[in-house]
This record gives sequence, structure tokens and C-alpha cells, in this order.
Amino acid sequence: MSDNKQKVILQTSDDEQFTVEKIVAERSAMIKSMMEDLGEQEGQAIPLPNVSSSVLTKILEYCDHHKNEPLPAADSSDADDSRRKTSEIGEWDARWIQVDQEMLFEIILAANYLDIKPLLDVGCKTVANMIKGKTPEEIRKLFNITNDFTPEEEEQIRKENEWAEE
Amino acid sequence: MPFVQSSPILPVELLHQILSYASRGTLASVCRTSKTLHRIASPFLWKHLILGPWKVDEDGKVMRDDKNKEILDKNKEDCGAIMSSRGEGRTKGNLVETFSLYHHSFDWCQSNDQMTLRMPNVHTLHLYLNDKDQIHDDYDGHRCGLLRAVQPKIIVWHNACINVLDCWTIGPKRLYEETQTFFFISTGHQAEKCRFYPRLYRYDFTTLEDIYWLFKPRILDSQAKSESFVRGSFALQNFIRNIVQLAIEFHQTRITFVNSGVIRSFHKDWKDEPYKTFEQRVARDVKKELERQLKQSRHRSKEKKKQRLDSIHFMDLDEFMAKEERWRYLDARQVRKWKKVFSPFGTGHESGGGADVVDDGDQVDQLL
Repeated sequence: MSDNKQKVILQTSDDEQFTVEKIVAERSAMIKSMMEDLGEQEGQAIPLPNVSSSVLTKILEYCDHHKNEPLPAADSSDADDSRRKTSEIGEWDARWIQVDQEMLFEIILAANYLDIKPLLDVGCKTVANMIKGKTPEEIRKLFNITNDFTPEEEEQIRKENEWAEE
Repeated sequence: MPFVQSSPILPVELLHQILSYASRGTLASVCRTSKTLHRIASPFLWKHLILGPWKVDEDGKVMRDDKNKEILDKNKEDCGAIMSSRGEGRTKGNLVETFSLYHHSFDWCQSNDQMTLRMPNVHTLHLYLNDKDQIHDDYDGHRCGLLRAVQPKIIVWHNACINVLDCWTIGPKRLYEETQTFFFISTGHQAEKCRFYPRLYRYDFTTLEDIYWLFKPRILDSQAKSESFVRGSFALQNFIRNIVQLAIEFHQTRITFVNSGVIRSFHKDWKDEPYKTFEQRVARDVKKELERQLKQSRHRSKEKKKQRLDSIHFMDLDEFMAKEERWRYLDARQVRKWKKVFSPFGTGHESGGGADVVDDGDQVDQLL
């Protein structure tokens, strides 16, 4: 049996089942290790209680597009510092992640849960780009944050951080 | 965590990851949005305190006017000594791990012992200097409170040259009490003018373990180019003399020289040399000269002399950067820029004598 053609069944929080290629599902380090633990159990669905079908559909698009790329090393979170420093996002990824804010946050949460590091990077960079160059008021508006500072407190913090302003 | 009320709520660990991609200016904005975000974002912002008097853009690039002169930012000048004596502001100093100080002059420092921010956790201090001695010290009677407030393990001197390496007069003795590593970054021209006479000053540097001296490439306009080639061999002699002097002065310290393109200033003279790289050539000459000088000193045993010779190393930038922890000393963008210009002997990338080198030592492009 050719390894690449193997299928996996994923079951979402709203009880939908997705049959996907193993190589696509393995983008998720969480699913990959689960499959390794479960062994070859034909027809057994892997439950994903934290992911809805609409989010999984979106994420599987991403996984399918990147399925032939090498997987990141298991523990590469801080090793590759230069990767973390750049806030650039690949062209395809940037287009793919043009979604509304709620979906964006759902994607980030799911990427974190499913342990898909490159996707988590893309999501976090996208949020970082959204707030880039924005004033505090604009950021509050964007994320619906309540300002609980007194004007004096905010002014004090502005002065403290003046050295960092652009 | 009430970061977002209508959308799904992101846990703090993910906020951390998002903030790790944010620029300083953005972090400064985030700090002002709410108390919770102030608490979460402040450590990211204050981890690296950068004091420079210029306007910067979103990417931290220093802005220049049409005469290519850096544009001053009045508000930033006012931050000179980070006067945070009030309330919570004081605790911000505890968050600083890396501190970069650019051309710090008394005019805009105005620090004093009461008002100046204390930074007990600074591990690395970057000092950026220009030809005019613009980091004030107690040398001229005006004590810089900021430099009295830190005791770094690593001190990086950017644009190290003769005026700078009067450096031992900069800052109080306290500044050097825990220093384990000195890092000098010079262009060939600056290095040629460096003299090390620390014994003339008042410091012992008892904790010092390592000295790195990195030679970086430099932009040469057509005039400077011809000048450096005419002076080639003379410059090289000075250069070697200064290296030997450093090795003699700091006789108990490991010393590593790192070449990243200074070779351009000299290499016309070396066309027919059997030595393939700058490192080999300089290593040979330094060794010869050092042996000669050590022979003259009667006080040292044979083993001591051998130890001295064995604890001096020469390498190129790639070899140096191969060790992970060394990224701490250098800005990744800067290194990439050096690499782009500098290709070692024999690769033959560059055309026509290839001296159109980068990074004039005195200019500042980017605040780290």
C-alpha cells in the first residue's frame, strides 16, 4: 500500500467527518502523534473537539497546499531566531488568510491546538501586521478593548515609553 | 483574558507570540490600550531599551533629511536619562535586559543620581559611538547616571576607534565590575587607529574572560578607495601592531578576531600572497610580532608565553556566527548586510577590484 494515499478520518466539534490524505493530516503534529499512538486502525475517526467544521475546512486548504514541504523539527520554537524576527508572510499564505477577524482568531486557536507551527506563525504575524503603526485608540477599536486607564495614567505611560515611539 | 470581547479570546501565550512580531512603536501603542495589555506588553517593549535621539520609521530605520542627516526627535532627546522617578515607572528598569545607547551626549542626558532609571538586570550593553566622543562620562565632569546604573556581562562597542578606546574613561568603574566579554566592532580604518592602553587607566577588568574584535566592511567612496590602497601596507602594519598591543595588555584574556570584509582595505597588496585569507595572513604576522615582543619580556615563563599564543584566534564571520549564542552580540540584519558585500578571496563574485563596500562606520541606519 502506498503510504501517500493512506486516508485518515477527522471528526469535528459539530460532528462532521472529513476523510483526508494522511500526508495532509500530518501537517498537524498533534494528529500525527495521535495516529502514531493509535496505530493502524482502519476507519477509526480522530476526534477534534476544539475545531469546528468551517475552521477545519479552511485549515485543510492550508495543509493541502503545504503538504509536500518538510515538516518543522519537533522542537524548533526558539532555535531559529531569524525566522521569528521577520514579519513577512508568503504570498499564498497572505491571500489564504484574508478572512474576517473572528475566523482569523479561530484559525490561530485551532493552529495552536492542532500544533501546526508554521500556520500559527502566519496567524500571529497577521495579527501583528493588523496593529502595526496603529494608535492605541485604533487598536482598542479593532479588538473591542475597553480603556480602563485614567487620562493621567495613560499620559504617564505615554511619557515612559516615549523613547520607543515611531 | 479580556483581550477581545466579541471574538474568541486568545490565551496569553498566543498574545506573547503576536507581540514578539510587533515593532517597538506598536508595542508602545499596545501598552496604552488597557491595564491588562500594559502588563502583558511592557516586558516585550522594555526587554531592550534603546536610547537614540532620532526619529525612526515603522521598521526602526533612522529617518534622514534631504542632506542625508539624521532627523532629531525632540521628544526622544527629552528621554535622555529616562526620568522615571514616579510611581510604577521605576519598575520598568527591572525589565531591561539589553540596553543600547546611541551617541549619548550630556546635552540631552541630564541624568542625576535621584532621577535616573535603574536597570539592575541589564545583561548586554551596546554603546554606539561616533568619531566625536559623544558618550559623556565623568572624564569631563558630567557623570552619566545611566552608565552608573548598569553592570552588564557583555559590552559591545560599535564603531570602536581611537577616540572610543579612550573608552576606559567612559563610565564609572562600577560599569565594568561584572563584565565578562568585550566586543569591539570596527571598520579597518577605525581598527587601524585603535590603541589599547588600559593599564594607564584605573580598571583591572578582573572578571573579563573574552575579547572579540570584529572587523566590518565599510563604504568607500572613490576618494577613500584610492587612499586606502595607497596606504595599504602601512595600514596593515598599524593594524597588526594594535592587535598585538591588545594581546599584550589583556594577557590573561582569550582574544578572538573576526574578519568580515576589512580585507578590502588591504588586499591589493596581497595579490601574490600564498595566504588565501585575511585571517591566515594576519594571524601569521600577529604571531610573529607577538613572539618577538614576548621574547623581550623577561617576566613570563615559557608556558605563559605559549598560553598567550594559544588563546588568540582568528576566524571569518561564518565561523564566528556558527555558534548560536553569538547572535546575542550582533543584529541579524547587520550581519546579513555585511555578508552581502563580503565574499572571501577566490570566489570572484565581485567585479573590478570590488571595493564598493558597505556600512560607513559612523553612520547609523537602524536602531537595533
